[in-house]
Amino acid sequence: MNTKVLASLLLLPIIVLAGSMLRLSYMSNFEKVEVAVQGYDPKDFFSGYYMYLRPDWDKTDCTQFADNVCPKENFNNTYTFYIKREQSEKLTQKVNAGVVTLQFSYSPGFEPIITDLFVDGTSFMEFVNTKQ
Amino acid sequence: MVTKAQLKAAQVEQNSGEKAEAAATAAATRENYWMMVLLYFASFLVGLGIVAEVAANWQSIPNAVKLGGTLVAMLINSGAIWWTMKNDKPILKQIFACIYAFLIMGGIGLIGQVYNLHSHAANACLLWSLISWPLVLIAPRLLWLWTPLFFFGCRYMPHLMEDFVIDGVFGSADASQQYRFNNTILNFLRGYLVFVFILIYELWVNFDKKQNKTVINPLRFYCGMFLWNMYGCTAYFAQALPKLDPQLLMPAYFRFALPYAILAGIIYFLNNQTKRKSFMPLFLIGVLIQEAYISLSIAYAPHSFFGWHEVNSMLPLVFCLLMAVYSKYQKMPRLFKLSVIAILFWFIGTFEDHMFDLLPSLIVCAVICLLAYRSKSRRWFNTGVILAVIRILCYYGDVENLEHLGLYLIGAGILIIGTILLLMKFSKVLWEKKDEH
Repeated sequence: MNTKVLASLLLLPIIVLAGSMLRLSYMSNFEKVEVAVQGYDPKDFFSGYYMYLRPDWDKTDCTQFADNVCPKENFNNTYTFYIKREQSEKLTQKVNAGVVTLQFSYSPGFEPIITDLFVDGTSFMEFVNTKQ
Repeated sequence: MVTKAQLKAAQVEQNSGEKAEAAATAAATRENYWMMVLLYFASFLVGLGIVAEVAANWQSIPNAVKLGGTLVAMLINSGAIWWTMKNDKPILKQIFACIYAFLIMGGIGLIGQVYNLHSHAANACLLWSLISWPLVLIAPRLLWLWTPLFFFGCRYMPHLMEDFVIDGVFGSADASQQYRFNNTILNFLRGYLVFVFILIYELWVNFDKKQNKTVINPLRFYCGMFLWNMYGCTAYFAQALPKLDPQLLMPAYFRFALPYAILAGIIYFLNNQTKRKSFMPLFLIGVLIQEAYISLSIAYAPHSFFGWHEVNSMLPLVFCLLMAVYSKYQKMPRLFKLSVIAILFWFIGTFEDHMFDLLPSLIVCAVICLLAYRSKSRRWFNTGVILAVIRILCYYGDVENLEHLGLYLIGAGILIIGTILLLMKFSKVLWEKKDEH
């Protein structure tokens, strides 16, 4: 195959990944909703450490959604939130205490995208910086 | 006046001159196969290091910088590949292609991490194999990496069995049945794509006169491995036994056995036509044994002597021994050597990460190197070196801390690449001295 064609094919992964980034960043700018969660802390080599979180609809404020109804069917059963290894223990304690919520960028018809995690109403980065 | 004979003589001279020149060029650019294997291994280490560093989740770096940085790194890397293609640097080209493959994987992982995407690793592998195929055209040996990830991406793994067999065949009474059913059809189609893939490969091998071994070897190996992987799929039942009625599993067997039998029949017919020795009968034997074994396990599940781990550990050994016996009987020396290497890997893989266990492995490797050096077998000598390197890396790898692991892998990879390039430069001296003695 022609060298120039081959070289241009090398751009395929870059174009696809850049496209994914743009699409996801667009989807991250919808209206924000908060969902209570429960979960635990696993890890794997490719992803690193993350919290495995399950929406807890009984504790979620459904008034933030249209008609005051939680659209459970639009959300997955589980979500992952990526963290550093040393943060996992403290965050697990907070999750077990039931004071953690996930913030989603949500618009009906689109897949909800996680935009932040709140511990006792504090954003995750603030929580990490104050506790360390 | 120039006679016809003189013209012919001049032509012959010119032809032989061209041939000699071509041979010299080929010799100058000829790759040392095993050194290339090591180089690929080292490039994989660098790539894995990059993935591990991504996985370490550097929260202090803004997401835009991480994502942008990845794209820039990919752009630079593809530029480097283009440069090596333009300047005819085949070895460097393959190293960069290898690292690029892992950069793509790292990029996919990073996007998942930044946007907290919840997805099965198989989906990442499928995306990777769909967008990184141009690299295989540039460095065909990447098929060794591409093929298993494609298979994994197609979910020909126990997960498929969970979706397809448990939900699809037996059905599920809960509200999400409709979703699961659709999912099952998708997986079913993906599964058949793999069968088609194998069939195309076998047809190609049968009818292609100019066989490109760089392409054929990994295809052959992984097609076989895939069929063997049916072990794992069926062995999944052994794990799920307490929950399932053994009699209900039999229809599921037939569903998988039927396409396999059809495929094996076509291949058997083609092989008979072309009188080609095929590896397929071996896998047929293997699958039959596995089917029998799992069926027996199911029948005696509550009091089964063997557990899941024993199945996982013993089946590869049984398979490798079968492969060795078969290849010896069929007089297929390469396949025989491959089986012996596979048995060695099994042997070393069973050791745990204690110094007490490391030493016997290294002694085995040293013996291989020594015997190879005495019998002037460069391949076996390099095989011993590769095994030793892998075993040592297994011992020192710290999988608990991803930052350290990433840096360790990158460092080890670069070190090995440097060593190999030096070895390639000086190996001639080493083996010439040996020849003189």
